Amino acid sequence: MKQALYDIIYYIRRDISKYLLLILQYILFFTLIGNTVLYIDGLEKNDQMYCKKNGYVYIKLVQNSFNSSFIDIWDIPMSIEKMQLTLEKLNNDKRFIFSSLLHDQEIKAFVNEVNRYFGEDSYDDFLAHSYYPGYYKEYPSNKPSNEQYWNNEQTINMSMCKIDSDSIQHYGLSVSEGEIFSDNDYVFDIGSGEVSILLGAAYQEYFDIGDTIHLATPIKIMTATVKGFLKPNSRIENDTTYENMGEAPVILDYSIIMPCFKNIIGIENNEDKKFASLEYNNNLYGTLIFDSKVSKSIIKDSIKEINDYYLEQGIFTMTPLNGNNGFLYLQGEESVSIELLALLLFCLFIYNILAIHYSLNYFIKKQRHAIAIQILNGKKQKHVILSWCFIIAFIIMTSLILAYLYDGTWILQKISFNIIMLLISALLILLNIFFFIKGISKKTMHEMLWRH
Amino acid sequence: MISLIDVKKTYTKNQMSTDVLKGINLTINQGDIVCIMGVSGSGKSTLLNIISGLLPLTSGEYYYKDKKLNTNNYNEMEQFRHNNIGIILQEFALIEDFSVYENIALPLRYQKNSSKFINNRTSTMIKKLGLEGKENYYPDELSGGQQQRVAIARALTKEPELIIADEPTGCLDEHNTHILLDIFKELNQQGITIIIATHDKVLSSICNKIFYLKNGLIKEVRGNQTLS
Repeated sequence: MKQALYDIIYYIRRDISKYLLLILQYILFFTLIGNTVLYIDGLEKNDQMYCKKNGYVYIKLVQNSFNSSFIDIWDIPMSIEKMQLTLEKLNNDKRFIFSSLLHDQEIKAFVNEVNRYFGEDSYDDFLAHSYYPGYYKEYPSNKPSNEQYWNNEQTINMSMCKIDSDSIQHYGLSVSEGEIFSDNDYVFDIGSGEVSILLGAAYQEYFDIGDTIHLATPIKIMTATVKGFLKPNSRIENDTTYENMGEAPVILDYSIIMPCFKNIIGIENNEDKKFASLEYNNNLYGTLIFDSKVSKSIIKDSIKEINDYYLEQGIFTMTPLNGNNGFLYLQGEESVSIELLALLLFCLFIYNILAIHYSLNYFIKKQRHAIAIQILNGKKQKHVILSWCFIIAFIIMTSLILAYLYDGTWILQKISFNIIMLLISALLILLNIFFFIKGISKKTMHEMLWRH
Repeated sequence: MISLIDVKKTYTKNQMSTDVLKGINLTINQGDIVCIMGVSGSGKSTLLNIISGLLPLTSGEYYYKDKKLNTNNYNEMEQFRHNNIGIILQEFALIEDFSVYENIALPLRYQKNSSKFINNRTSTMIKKLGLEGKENYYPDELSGGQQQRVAIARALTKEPELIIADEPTGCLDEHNTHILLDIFKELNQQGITIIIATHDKVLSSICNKIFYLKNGLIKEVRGNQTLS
């Protein structure tokens, strides 16, 4: 054992670049294999979640390719129009609903924007600032969990909610005063910056219908007009929201509800364009909802159909939340690109296998000579094999760990995926040892000593 | 010390058999310095490999200190080499990834000696072979003569009673060949038996026995060896 470890250090120290190359090749191998496993696993995976209470199945859809795709949406001409078209199709599809919650962290960032535009005095008008003392001292009966202290006074953090008409219907939201959003409220004139908002019941004490307040969202400061107050104890069940899935319901008494914009008009400059892109991008996240009696095949077809909306525009992909990652982003590309990329990936895989094969061959050939010398000088053959086992296990396990570190989501995958990856690693180690033993045993000592 | 009786060696490849040694009989005594000479393909390297336990016999008998060796027993031959023989090869057989010091210390490490012993013994051999200052060099940073001295130092480090050298001057110039001759003479004076396979007539001049091989047979013996 000591000898084996000793040899590893000696070999690696002198030949580190070749070991690094082999490790890199194995990282690529594991990345390709890991993503293939995830892809195959995802094809059969049940990506839907059953909401027993409400008797429906919901599937959260996210744009998988936004970060991982080769496409940079900001650089694509007409990207806003394409996003708008996709959103329009989704909005016409009654299976798709949108709701999203912004939390304290995001809202805090908006405060800085408000300060930049309006100065410190604007605090009094900035409703979204959750730490503003004085507004929310009292606890409601259904005590929220996110209470804070400000100047020794208990306050409650705010949340901002973006919602569309289908979500309002789905969650059964209604107002105690004023009006719910109309179709016009889902159209945002970026030039005027005016937007309608609904407020949670807790605000009713401080505001009236028609009051205007400043709201900051990334890039844009808006002038918000209070259109209505939600009924007390209005809530989102958290069965369809992206960020809070599975958590307790979100009570909207302390929330500012903004419309999810179906259409943004009056775009003139790059800043407007970026704002619109961000809005649309955010709004394209959504949830598919089906009755629990709907068959799996129909659900799969629906996912495909919705995905086609994205594909038609050629700028996005879509994938079920917790579903596939890795290769699925190919679905977001043009069909020609998909085939080309699949071919490239296949070639890469073949190249990778060949590269590993030749690297190992080189190692075995080189080792063969060194091994013969070692045996000639008294090293036992079993120790030689043990050393090789350690070296190859070191290379493969290091590569596996680095592949896991490279793709941080792997460790979060279900246990079967991690077991498969470990089994593949073990198989690779065994194969390498087998080929190594075969490689040295087919040569005599004399042949191994004479390299030329 | 060494007796070979009717030793034959046949290589078989693709169902084609080649008889390389066709019945070798020889005796080497303790303290001999022996040359095995012959043209390329005469079988001298094969004979040397058999004596050093690197190749099994096809037939015949091999006695070392009156004990018959089973050359087909890998472990026995491994042990035999480990305990008795220091081997020097034409290509020096140094591990490229190891420094001079590490190459020389190699046999001592495998004998599981203490670090202190390894250090003392290796340093002594480095000094003896005139390799001071080269301890941390790697083989590819040394001249042919220096590499051969490292190979000799490594062969001597475990104090073997038999040194086997296959074409040890094959890669050396005249100057380094003479240095090597002096080393062999000195070793022989210390009682170490040396067997050398070579074409080099200068090297053969220091030997007390010379075996000439031709077509797998010993055709001529010079010195006090007689064909049995």
